[in-house]
Amino acid sequence: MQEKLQNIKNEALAQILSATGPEDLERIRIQYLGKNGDLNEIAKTFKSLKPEEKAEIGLLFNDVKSAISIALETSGSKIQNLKLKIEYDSTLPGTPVPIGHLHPVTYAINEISTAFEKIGFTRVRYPEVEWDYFAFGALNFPENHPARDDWETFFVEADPDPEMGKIVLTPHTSNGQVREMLRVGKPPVRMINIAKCYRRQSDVSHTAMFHQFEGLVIDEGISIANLRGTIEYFVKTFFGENRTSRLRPYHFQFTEPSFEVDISCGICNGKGCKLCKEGWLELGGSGMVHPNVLKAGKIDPRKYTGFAFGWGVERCYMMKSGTRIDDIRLLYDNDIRFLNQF
Amino acid sequence: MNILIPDSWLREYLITDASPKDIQKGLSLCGPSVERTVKTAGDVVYDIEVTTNRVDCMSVYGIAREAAAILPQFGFTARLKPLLPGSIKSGTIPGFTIDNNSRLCQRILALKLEGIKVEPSPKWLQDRLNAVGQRPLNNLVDITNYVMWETGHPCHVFDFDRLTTHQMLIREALKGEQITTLDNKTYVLAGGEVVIDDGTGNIIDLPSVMGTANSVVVENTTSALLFVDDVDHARVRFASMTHAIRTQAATLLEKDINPATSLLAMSRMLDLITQIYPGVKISRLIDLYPHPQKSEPVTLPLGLISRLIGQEVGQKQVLDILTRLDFQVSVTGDILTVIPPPWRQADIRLPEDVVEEVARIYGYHNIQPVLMSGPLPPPDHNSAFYWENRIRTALKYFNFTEIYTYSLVARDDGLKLKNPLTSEWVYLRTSLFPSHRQVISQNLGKADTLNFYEIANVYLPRKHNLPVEQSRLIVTTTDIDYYKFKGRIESLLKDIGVLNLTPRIISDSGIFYWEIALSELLDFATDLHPFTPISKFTPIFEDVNLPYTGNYAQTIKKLYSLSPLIKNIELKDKFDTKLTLKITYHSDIKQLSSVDIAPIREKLTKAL
Repeated sequence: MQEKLQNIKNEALAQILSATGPEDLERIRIQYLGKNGDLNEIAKTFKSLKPEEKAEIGLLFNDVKSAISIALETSGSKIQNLKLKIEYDSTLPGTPVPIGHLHPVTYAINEISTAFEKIGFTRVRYPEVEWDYFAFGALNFPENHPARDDWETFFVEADPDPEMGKIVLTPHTSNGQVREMLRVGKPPVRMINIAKCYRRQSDVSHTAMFHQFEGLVIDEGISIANLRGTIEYFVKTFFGENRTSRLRPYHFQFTEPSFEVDISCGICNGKGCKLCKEGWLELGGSGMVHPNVLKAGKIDPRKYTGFAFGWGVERCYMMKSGTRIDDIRLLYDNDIRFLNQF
Repeated sequence: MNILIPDSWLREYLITDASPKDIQKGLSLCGPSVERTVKTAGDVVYDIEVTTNRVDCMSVYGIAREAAAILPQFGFTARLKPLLPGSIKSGTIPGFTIDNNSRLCQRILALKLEGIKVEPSPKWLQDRLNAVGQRPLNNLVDITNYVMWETGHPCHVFDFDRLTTHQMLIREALKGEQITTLDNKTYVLAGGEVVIDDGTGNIIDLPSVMGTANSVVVENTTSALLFVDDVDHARVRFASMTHAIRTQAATLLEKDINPATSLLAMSRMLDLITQIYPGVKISRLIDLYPHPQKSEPVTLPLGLISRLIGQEVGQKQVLDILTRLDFQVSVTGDILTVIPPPWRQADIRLPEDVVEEVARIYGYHNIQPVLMSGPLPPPDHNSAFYWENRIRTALKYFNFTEIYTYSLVARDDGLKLKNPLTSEWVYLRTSLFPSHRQVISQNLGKADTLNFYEIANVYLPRKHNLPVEQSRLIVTTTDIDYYKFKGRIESLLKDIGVLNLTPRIISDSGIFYWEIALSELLDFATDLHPFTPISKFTPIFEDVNLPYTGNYAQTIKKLYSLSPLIKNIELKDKFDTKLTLKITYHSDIKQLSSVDIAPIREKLTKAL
């Protein structure tokens, strides 16, 4: 009986292959799969089989039946296309492969770290939950500086360490500066530190948790001109060839001189518009490493100089032309309808 | 902190041919930033951001002084019309005593006025105050505000007759003492605020922060006490922040104004009083300033300036810039000695501070950008960054969406914040899952299935140390197909070369999730795949059906043990009680035939 079924299959498939129109296929269907077709005729004889034979023959039977059905169907659509003289309809959608999404912050971090790694920066990551010493003390913050009080920085409920002080959630990636100096030991230092930071604030441009990237370069003869060179390189790489940067005087405890870095507005190209301040957007802070900070990192400020900058990842991403995200909190709401757009 | 400065007011002290646009540009590039300008009827108002170290610029006069130093660099003429303390006679006010503690308050100036009438200020004065957003109240209060805006030092005025004890005692507040400020709000003091006591235990002022209702000028005031004080700046901030009283006075005085400025402010108040009310009787000036601050000289090698800037700035230009900033300069050989003016004492202490002054006036925009040359640091291959990206990318293509959730949660066994911002963010999390469960519940109904992942730290507490920041991966799904979820994780593990790791998948609240310390993966992750030479003998494949016992791993182990020629077993299909397995038979030393595998097949079928 196996042989018979096998023969029916071969015969049917051969006929289907040589069919030239839908009427041929219908005739073949009736002959093999119809109510009084060849397969049903065979099925009628199953009663006489032994039980163990029945199972085996049954499997083969189903196999043959489905092979013929599938062949009929495939051949049917081929014949249909033949009629329309179309091999493939390129306007029909392909079969989609469902894929997920990276978070915009990841895109931004990847782009930032790639840009700096290309000019020899080493990527590192330092603690988010940090000693007051590395977050403030080693960075030349006076004991009573406002950033060190309860209104701006998060403190952890824990006994302070006699040397390292209280435990804080680091409010900036600058906590990595002295840690990196101690790790490297002897300049040159070229660090890019990207990590989470925390501040007690929440509005359209601030979330209590955010990311910063911190650049630190220390060597003999590092100057403001080098800082400008690095910023220009980054601005052109990350924001685009047509953007430019400028430094304005500013004040930070751990740099001297200190600068605020602006980039030209991508909307008005520096002419001045509603979104910018007279053609400029604030990128973030930077400066020449304060001699007290170098000392804390066991580096001789008479021999070496350096620069540092620390900017918001989200802020930079939002300032990139065309991202159109006007509220930083969207990034952390994790609404699938938002995430699906990236 | 931002301050509004009308152009017309500025030009009372700044004589220049520069236009408002020029002033805006010059200040922004070389000094305090003019964030925008607002045109009003016949005037322009500058909105200027002043950094905390430059409290000397938080006034009309301060900005005029700064602009006079900057504008010549842009080719304009600019000259400051100096504001000098007039000749006020110092002395005492008969029958009135002030008992100061210079640790709490560096300097106090007080002056009594008699024969005054409280009334609205002249219109020009009201207009000026309106232009800078200060509401005019009455002549006395308006003069204190006007002078604060002009000189940068806050001023206060008391109703002299309401100071009934004729006595002032400067002291620290005790915990639990109460005050009612001039806006009729009552505060319970925390202790440590600096207050003025009338000698009987009554508090009659919260100096440098806000006046109290029991001593301020009222409608029928006829004699007044002009008062300028320099309470210790840290205590000003403490009082102001603790009670959320953010007055202009407090935001200025918390920044350590040089007490030399107080005399300018007092003398300017007196100017205005005598100018507007020539008939007023004026007492001698009480001036309590036992420890005047002195400027310390700063010395530096001249060459440091050009070295740090990165291009040559000539000595003549250096001296010219510093002189314009009112620094006293002298050069001996290569050494430059600089003495800052009183209003820059707190800010100019190091050679680098002097470099900053020269560099900013010289103009950062005049420094050519140059990338650094020189050796690179030794390579440090922290492969975590690489593998994190590999994992992120793989999961994205396996249809998972990356999220970033807050490290802080409402409940956890981990570290607790001392000063949380909201009740949602109190603990540093020790697991990522609760954050994901929350994101999933927020997104239910917005998509058919939710598949998320994240790489983030958890914070595992340690005694007397920082917590361990453990980087973890979490993958979550609402898809009910366990094997589909497991299969994707297994594909991920295979992709990063991690073998022999069974993912521990947990089911919770209708979610399957897998959370693992990244180090557990990174210890084994590799792109190195040792090559096995392709055998010249072809394998034989065969599908066999076997009963499913409920423990697949056991079954497979048993089957492999049957013959060394079984090289691979792959699950093709699983029904309730049946497995279909694809068996690969292969030998490295000879070509197998059906004769070789027949006995193995026999064993296979009987094994279970």
